[in-house]
Amino acid sequence: MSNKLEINGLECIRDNRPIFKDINFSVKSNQTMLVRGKNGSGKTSLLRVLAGYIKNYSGNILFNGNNIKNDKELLSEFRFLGQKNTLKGNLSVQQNIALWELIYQVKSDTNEISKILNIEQILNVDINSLSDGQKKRISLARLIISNAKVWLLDEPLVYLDQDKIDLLQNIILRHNKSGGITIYSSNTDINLEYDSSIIMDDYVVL
Amino acid sequence: MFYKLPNTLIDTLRNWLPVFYSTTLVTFSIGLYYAIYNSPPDYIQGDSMRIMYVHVPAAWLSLGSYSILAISCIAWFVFRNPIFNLFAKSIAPIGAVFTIIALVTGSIWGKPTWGTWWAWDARLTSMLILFFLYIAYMMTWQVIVNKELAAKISAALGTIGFINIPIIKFSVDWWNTLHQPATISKLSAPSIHISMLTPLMLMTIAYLFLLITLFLIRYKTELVEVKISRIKH
Amino acid sequence: MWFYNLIVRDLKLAFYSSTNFLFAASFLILILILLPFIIDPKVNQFIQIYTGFIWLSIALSILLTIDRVFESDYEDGNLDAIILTQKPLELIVCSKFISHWIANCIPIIVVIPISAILFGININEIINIILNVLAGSTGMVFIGSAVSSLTLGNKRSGIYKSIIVIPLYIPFIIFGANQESVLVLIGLSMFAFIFSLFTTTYSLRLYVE
Repeated sequence: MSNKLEINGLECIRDNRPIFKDINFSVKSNQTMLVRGKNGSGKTSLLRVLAGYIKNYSGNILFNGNNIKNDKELLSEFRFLGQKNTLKGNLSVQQNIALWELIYQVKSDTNEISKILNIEQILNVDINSLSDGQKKRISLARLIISNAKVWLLDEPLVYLDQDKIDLLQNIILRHNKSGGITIYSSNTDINLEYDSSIIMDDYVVL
Repeated sequence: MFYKLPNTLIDTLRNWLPVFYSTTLVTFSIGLYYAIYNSPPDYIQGDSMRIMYVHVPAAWLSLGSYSILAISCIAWFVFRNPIFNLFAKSIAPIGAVFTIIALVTGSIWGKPTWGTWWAWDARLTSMLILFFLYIAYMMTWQVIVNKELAAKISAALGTIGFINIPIIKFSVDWWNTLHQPATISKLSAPSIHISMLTPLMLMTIAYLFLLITLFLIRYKTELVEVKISRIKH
Repeated sequence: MWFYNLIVRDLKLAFYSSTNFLFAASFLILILILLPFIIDPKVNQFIQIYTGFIWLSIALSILLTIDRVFESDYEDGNLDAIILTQKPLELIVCSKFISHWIANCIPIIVVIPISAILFGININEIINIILNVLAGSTGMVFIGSAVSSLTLGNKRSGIYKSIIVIPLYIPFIIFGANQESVLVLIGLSMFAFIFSLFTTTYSLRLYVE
């Protein structure tokens, strides 16, 4: 199954300040796109617009040819992973995954997920006693259990060392192969493989 | 629209403020002269009744400023113009102070007149709540760090308070009729003599000018602050 | 189904937190333990003081726990995730109201008759109090949640919330302390529901943007 995300003349103005304007790109199934740019250049805002948080924008976001604005069905195909790790500190990893399942109305195979993420040993450990890198890895489980088509990852490489980056790379490839699209933002030199990239200019007006 | 306003408006305010200063001073002198010397003492309450000339205008204007605050908040929802927020933001502390004046002078007046500093009747309770609504409104701007967000939340809060005051008044009235006979029926006699009405009206006008002057000072400050933050960004 | 799942999620969360269900009930009992030291239970009109204490402790326990409704979910990002499931925000808010009411007020309602027996309150009055609490606490939870949604992501806002919430509770306390005003309380709660739903969705939209 192939999907296509197309963005035409996207412009976002918040508090009378343009965050970004004239963004055009298109991504197809089995593709990864990188959003590059300095801090404050609107990378996160772009991802949040795509995720449907920010509704105040002009331009078109077409998913498989349909405008996603106000289309809840289509918007629920997008999954955003931000800076917050979405974990409950006093609960174990397994309990956290169970809570996500309730949010996304899915049943998932915990064994399989823990094998993919390499978290089998810490499945019953409380989140509070884990390291930041481990938390980041566990927060990826939220992407895997939800069968969304478009993944929007905001700075996913923070806190991850090289072998964990490889892990993330594998997860993304696995997702893309099943017809998914991945868009991620980064401002470091180490990057995941990507098929196309876009550079956000600084539009913050003095 | 808003972006062109501050520069000229700040200058206009700066030029006009001395006029308001002097008007306030003059009206207060006249009003206080009438209130203290040139009016008869009440035949029941005696001279303690003169507190009314300080108390009643403060009470009226504290309610009046909350109405202005709430209407500006609602206007902000309708027009989404930041100018209404600054309106509400500037008037809140003034209203709070007027509420305190009304409460304190009311207590001082109440002691000789009704023999008690305070009664939990609808009017007094809702005045006290009004004071806390002002406080809550002002705190919003401090508690919420993001100014854009604070503007939106405080506007919602000002509107909520507007609805809450009549509800509290109604509830306390209902509660009073149920639990205790109404001890205090009316603050002032139904008909007020012309010799007392004159100083009352003069004092109200003086208070009104005080309110306007203080408001304009604060409004100017707010505008300057907005301007500074614009330059900083 | 998803609505039910969200409630189950919140209740599970409350259960895992190990304090939530016990908290409200033990809070009520602890407040009531203080009561005999203040006033002799055999005195006339004791029922009024007892009812007043019940309402005070309900108000306080709601004030102490309203942070859990949205704040913790907002802080760790779960609120974003829930809202991005693109279900109607009004219903999401409703599910939060309901789960918080179940976790906080049901334990109180369960404990009231037990404590009332300890203080020698007669059965008719107990039933009246429970009916009042059932009708009034819903509205109080709604208002508390709505106000807590106004200051998401702000840890220093405890007193601020009390300043807003307590004036809004005055009508509930007034009618709650009265024996025969269940209908008024139901009316107030309905009004509070509409008001809170509106405020909460408004402020959640603001914070999630």
